[in-house]
Amino acid sequence: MASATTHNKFDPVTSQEQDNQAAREAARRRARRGVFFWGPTAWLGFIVFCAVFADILPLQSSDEMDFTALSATPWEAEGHLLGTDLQGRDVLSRILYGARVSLTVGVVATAIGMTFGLMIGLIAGYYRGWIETAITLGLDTLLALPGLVVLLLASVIFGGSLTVVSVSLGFLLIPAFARVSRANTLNFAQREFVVAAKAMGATDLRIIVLEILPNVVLPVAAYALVVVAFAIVIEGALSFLGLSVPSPTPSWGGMIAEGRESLGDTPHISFVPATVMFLTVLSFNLVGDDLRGRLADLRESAL
Amino acid sequence: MRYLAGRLGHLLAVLFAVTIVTFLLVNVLPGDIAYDIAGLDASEAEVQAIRLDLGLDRPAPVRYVEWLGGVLSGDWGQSYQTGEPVIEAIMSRFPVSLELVIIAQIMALLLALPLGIISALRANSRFDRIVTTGGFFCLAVPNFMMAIILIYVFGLWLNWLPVTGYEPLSEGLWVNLRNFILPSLSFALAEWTLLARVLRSDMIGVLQEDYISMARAKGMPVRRILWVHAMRPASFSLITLLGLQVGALIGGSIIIESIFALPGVGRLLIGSIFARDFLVIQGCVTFIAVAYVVINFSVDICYALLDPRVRTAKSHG
Repeated sequence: MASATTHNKFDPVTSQEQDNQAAREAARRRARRGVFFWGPTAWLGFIVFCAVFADILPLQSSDEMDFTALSATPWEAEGHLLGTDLQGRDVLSRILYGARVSLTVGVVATAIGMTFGLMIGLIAGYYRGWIETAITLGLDTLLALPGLVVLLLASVIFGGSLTVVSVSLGFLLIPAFARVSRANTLNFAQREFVVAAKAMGATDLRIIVLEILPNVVLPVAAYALVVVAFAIVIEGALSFLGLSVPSPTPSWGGMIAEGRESLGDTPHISFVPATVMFLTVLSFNLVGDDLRGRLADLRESAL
Repeated sequence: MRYLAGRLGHLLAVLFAVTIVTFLLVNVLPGDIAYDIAGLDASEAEVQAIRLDLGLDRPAPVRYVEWLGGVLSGDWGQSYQTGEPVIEAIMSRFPVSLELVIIAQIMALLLALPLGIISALRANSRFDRIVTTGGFFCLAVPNFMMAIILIYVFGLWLNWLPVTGYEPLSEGLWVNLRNFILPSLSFALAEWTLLARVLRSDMIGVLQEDYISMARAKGMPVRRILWVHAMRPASFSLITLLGLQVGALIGGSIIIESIFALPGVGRLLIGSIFARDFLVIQGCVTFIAVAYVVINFSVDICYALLDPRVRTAKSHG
């Protein structure tokens, strides 16, 4: 099986060169952004545009019931491009208003998680000692709690609203970001420029913010888009259970759940919002992965 | 061993913190639980009696200590809805959740092992790229969406499998298993990509080691090299991930168990959240957290058993 061997370690020089070559090739492949980058980017641009301008786009109302066209399929009903749901509400319009919920929760929760995760990770990685132990303990506790349950409890306690969902989800995203930023801080905290800054008498705060943060923020931010996708999925699960934004406001998960009742007869009520959600999550993942790979290349070439 | 003792101490601390957080979360529920239990037409005296009965008139720290003491001695309180002891309610549902998680993990592994290994053997080939791309697509389907798709295709369209319900094992193995196929697949069809990805990258690294070239030079068959020499060092991250995924599956089982009407811990939990059955919520969350922590601890032990380097290296650091 010659095809199985890509490297021959008995010859360190060539294998080193091959390694470099493979890395360069991978980088070049990433540099040629293909359909798997531009397609998702275009889709995200489209969804964001529609969500922002949903009010001024020529859409049907999202909660007006059209009794002449109940659960109409996309090709049946006139004036309803993607059909109507069980109560005769326009699916297209509900999807676009639902996009507002999903995107807001995705972006706000990620921003909250990243901000606090960075702060906590920087502190843990810079000060070490008992502070680090305490922080690790807290993060592990947060990870051991079933995340969805905490969100469910939060929305039962405080009532489901955009703010509650975004904040509690952001809170649950803190450990992931904190771990990455702590690991990166550990790398930089011992470097010469930090030691030099210390020798010149810089305060801890100044070192953390001006010396370490700029180095840590990029590798952490590289995960942002992927986390947005994750947050959208969790919001979908919550609204699927009916515990995200309250009922008249459309949300993707809620729409999928509503269509479940007549899945056999009118599958489009579930599957149209499901497809939109799938494409959006997929796009965030693809673009996010591309960005992460690029940032890794950038760091490697800088070293 | 000192490494494991350190881990154990850390995990116990985490468990302790979990019980505090759970208790706090549940006990800030708005509304007076005593009123909920008593019902709408109860008199003030009845409500007061219930309050005294549940000990709700005493301060929270006292109740916490009592509850924790009860948990440690096996008395997790009673559900106010059914009067069933919480520990029995959980234990009677636990086998269902466990079966769901185990079948899901097996399915995910069955998909991930061959795909991950072949991708590693033929890195950057067309097969590899198709698997990677397919993985991206699978990963973008949340488990509740996958459940809907599976119900539609296999339940309503092809009519092959039941879409909801549960039959105990005593009704026969297949009767029992067929109710778990779709719920487990809802997890496995996304999870395999994570496992295959990790296995692929580890396997590529291992296959470049000298001793693999050596084995190959000796003329050892590829299959034997893979299973005997490469699998063990390449499986560390896979095992960690399997452990971590159990946590994700337990969380996801709340939603999957409700969709497929499986009477597991997840369904008990969501029912008690809606009913504000606070002792059951506390019990379930604690139980899930303990399960999660115990699984991760066993993963650490597996690590030490599989990789002697961990035993020596980490006990010094």
